[in-house]
Amino acid sequence: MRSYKYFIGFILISVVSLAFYVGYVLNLEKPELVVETKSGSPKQSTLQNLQINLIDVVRQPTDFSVSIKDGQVSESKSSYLNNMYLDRVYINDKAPRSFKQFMQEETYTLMQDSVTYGLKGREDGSWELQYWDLKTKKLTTKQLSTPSEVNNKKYAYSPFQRTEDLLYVERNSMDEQTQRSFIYVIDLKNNSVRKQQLPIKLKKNEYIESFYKGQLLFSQTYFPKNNPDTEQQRLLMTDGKKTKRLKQLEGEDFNTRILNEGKLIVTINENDETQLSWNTFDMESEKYTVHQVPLPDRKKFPDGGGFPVSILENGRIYFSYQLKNDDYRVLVFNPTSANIEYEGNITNKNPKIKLSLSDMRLK
Amino acid sequence: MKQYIQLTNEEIKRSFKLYVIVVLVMAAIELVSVVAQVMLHEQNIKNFMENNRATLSEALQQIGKLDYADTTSFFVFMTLIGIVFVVIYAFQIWYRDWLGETKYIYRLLMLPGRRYSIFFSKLTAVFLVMISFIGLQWCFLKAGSYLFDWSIQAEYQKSSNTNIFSSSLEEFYTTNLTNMIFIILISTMIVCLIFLLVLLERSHRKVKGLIRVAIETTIFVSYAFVCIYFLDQTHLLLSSEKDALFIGFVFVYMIYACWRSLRLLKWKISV
Repeated sequence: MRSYKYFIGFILISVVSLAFYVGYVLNLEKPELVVETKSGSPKQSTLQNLQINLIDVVRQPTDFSVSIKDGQVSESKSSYLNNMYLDRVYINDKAPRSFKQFMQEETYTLMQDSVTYGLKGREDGSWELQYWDLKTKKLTTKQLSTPSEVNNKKYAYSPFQRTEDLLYVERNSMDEQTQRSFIYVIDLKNNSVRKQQLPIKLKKNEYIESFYKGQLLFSQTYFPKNNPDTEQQRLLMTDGKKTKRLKQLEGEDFNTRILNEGKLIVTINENDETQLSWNTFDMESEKYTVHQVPLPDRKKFPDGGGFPVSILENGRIYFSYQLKNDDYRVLVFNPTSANIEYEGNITNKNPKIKLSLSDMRLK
Repeated sequence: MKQYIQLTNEEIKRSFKLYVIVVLVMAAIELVSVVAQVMLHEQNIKNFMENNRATLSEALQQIGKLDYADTTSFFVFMTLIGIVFVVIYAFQIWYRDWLGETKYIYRLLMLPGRRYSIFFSKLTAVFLVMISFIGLQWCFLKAGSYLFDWSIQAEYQKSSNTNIFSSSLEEFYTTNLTNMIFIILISTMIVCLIFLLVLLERSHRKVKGLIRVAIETTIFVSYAFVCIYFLDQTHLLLSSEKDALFIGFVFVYMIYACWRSLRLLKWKISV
């Protein structure tokens, strides 16, 4: 035994010193996350798939997902390997393998009302469309022949909105945004593709926000004369005959989002620490609403961190932010009535673990 | 097996003094640097107060408070030095047998039994040095944090301790053990590559040896490039399967490098 003393000694040094590290990692304290419902029912259909992701501030690779429906917490750790192949789009774990493979290819995607659409152009000019419905767990695959001028090598065709059984597809140039006067419409019932003229010809600095019953809502970037260094954006609606500026929806910190299959335009400002404000515009009735919800208990971060997260899906605004006592609030609004359909807090009962809000998903 | 353990013991014994010196120097520099940086910070605060006739809170507001992460920069340098030491050791463990006055390699090659044990004893020695460096560095980091808490005055210390170490050390010592296994796996593959290159050079010597080394390096770079390109381009595999395949590719190269090294040791290298 004595003749092996260096060998045994070295194994001991290696194993014992590494065991300190392994022991530290295995004995790390975990947060105790509890969902407390303040109002509304967590069992309602709009909350069935809602998950809030919190990340451990100190131990970066650990992510905690809290399901609002049943309060279940799942832990996931990212590794160096995960970071090597970042998924192009988030796809639910339960989605079929063939769909995940398809989405890894050169596909252009749209997520709307819990349905993920992927469109891929083939060399012969045809399109392959696949979409997976999270609610019904149904995968649909379609091979579509396209109008003769479609050129999948030169242009990217990306879906931007579904209205009833029609999926709207925008043509983008691979190199530079050019003038556009039409879009393509995929009829999901008849499996056909047709060209649809837009009411006006869009310039380079104009972008489609919504196309609803012949009305086009688009944003236009410009440099104001009194402040030529700052790019600003205006929102315009046109039917081809008259164009109307929607000033009520504009604002420096406002983001434009589309709901209800393109019918409802919501511009939302999440950056105000004292309140959440949003404006809505109904494309059909052309009616505006303006809303402000005070957030007196929202935590203020002097370094500008602690961003809130929001998603606009299923005709709802899902909003989450950190409170002064380091809990996290989850709010679900009806955007037009501003009714709070659900309000709940996520509390961490283990104050030694510091978490921060990462994102929110409908899984 | 007995011969393998005896040879490993011998390899470690021959490097033990150097290893102990390196570890002690590393530990001393790291731990002293923690105390020194705490003292330097205190001195800066005092100087600021004297020069500007400021209060302690004003000085702390201007210069900032200190947390342990701010004092771990030397640990990063020492970790890099540790990596360089392991790479040098992987070369030295072979070349010292040829280049030393006693020509120790002749004794090794003349030993009865298979030559496999020579190769694996050296590989084990380098592997153990590598593992012990990783483990000891962690112990020094933790010891350093206790030393920091002991040496700093409470009012000079940052209250919100968001980072345990500096960001680069946190990238190394993550809370995901898979990452550490990955680091050890890749490091072992590189050691296997170094062993293969040394044995190629020793088998052919001079210009022919260097050409063989260049060819083998090209094979390795091409293999790595093809594997990464394949994993990046394939749409058939999902992310978790790509992870598994990547590890498989690393294992395949390690097996190849060991197989080639053993063949060289058996057939090409002679007394």
